[in-house]
Amino acid sequence: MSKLLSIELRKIRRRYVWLLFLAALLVIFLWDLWAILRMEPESKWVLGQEYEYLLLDMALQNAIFLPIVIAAAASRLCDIELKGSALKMLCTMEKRIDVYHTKLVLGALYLLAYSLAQTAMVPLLVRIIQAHLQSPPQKMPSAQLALFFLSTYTVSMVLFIVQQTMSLLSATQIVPLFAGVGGSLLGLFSGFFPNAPFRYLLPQGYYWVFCTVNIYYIPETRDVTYYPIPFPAAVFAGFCVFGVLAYIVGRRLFMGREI
Amino acid sequence: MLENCILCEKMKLRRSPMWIAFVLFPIVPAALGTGNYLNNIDLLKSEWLSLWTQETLFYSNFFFAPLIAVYCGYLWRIENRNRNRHLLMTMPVPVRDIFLGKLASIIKITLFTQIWVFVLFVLTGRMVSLSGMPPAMILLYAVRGTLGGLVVAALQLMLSMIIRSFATPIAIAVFGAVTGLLASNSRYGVCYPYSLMMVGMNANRSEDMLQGNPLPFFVSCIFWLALLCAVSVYYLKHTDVRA
Repeated sequence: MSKLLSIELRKIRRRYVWLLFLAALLVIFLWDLWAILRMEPESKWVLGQEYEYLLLDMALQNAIFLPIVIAAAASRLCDIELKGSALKMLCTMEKRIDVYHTKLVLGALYLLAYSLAQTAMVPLLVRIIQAHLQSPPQKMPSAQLALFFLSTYTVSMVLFIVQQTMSLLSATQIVPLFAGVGGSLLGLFSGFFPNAPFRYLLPQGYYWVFCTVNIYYIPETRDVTYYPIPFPAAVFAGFCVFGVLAYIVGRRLFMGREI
Repeated sequence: MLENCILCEKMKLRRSPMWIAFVLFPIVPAALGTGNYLNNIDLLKSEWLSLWTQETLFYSNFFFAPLIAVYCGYLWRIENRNRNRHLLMTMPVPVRDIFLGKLASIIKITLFTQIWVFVLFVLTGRMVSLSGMPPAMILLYAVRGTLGGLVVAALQLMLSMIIRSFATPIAIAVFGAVTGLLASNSRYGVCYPYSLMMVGMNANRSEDMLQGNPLPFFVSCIFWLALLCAVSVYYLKHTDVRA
């Protein structure tokens, strides 16, 4: 696998796939920084709940950005063979299944780096909020951060499996990229209707489903209170089963594809 | 010759399923905005104007740019595959007309999408029992948004022409949309191409973002459109075709 991975890395040299994830991180950071710097000293609503504010905010940002970023990354990784009709040659030299797995491992590594970096960004931004508002330190909710990392990585991985399969099957790449844009739209949509059942229908909606923070907003006073909610472990297990099924179906579709 | 180029582009896009996305996707922000409006009906008192801000917020902020980027990417992908760009550039057709032919396709789809967004807005307004018809001001916002959208479309068309990847210009559009949201909340909103649609459509503001002085907005739109077209034609004329 390491040899195949090294070949894959050489193929995507100068395709700057990593830049997509880095740019997403940078934009999220700048967005949050901009929001923090606009907070006035009397923004009492955020005091003592800085972590919760950021965890909910980042779930929203992930639902907006990651479906498109993942679609673009999967397309960049798979497009290289499709463009030059190189799959025919490649599959005579290595097992077809290895082509699928190598790209998947590479995507998993990118997503691991992204999820880790984003989780590490949360305490950093909390420090910035505290410095800006001169508020007392808040105890780091390690369990919530770990669940944030786990859910971000799992949902992104499942999305990557679906997108990679679509990208490998699509000659034009239009369908996977539209799926990315549409998925982003629907993921955002599902977040605004927390009680509607359709948020469970699309994998993009699960960035919200696995968020361990909810919001209570009083329109009259414009007061915002964040409160922790239990992690839906049963739903998470079900989602992981869906991910495995997506992998099995995706692998089968790619293996059965006429090259 | 330009007319022939426009016809050729139309032929190239025949049986393309692109239109499905442009019909289906605007339904989502319309439904999202209507739901938001109904959820906050006690706070949103300006009726049609409030509904407009809710519906155009996500559409103009996050989704128009990536959507039009896919379309632009597709237009150039046809040329980038099978060495079609070599063929295209050796045709006895002015380079300017080749680019403007593609731009005409983008203008058409932008106009169609904006009209569809407005129709959805009126339909959802009637569904939530808003009385009468939307004020004329909102129609003006839609027209301004179309002009701002054309700048985004021209920029994406140029990026897809220069960057020979389908996915990268779409990712740039996503980041452009977010930075555009930030810029639209500052004094420099009318200077940044990705903000122009939001500023034009008056997304998420009850008062006019142009404060009754639309001249800088229109000047900026025309400036960007002219600049992007000029740079694109220059690039297409002077850069070697790579297969």
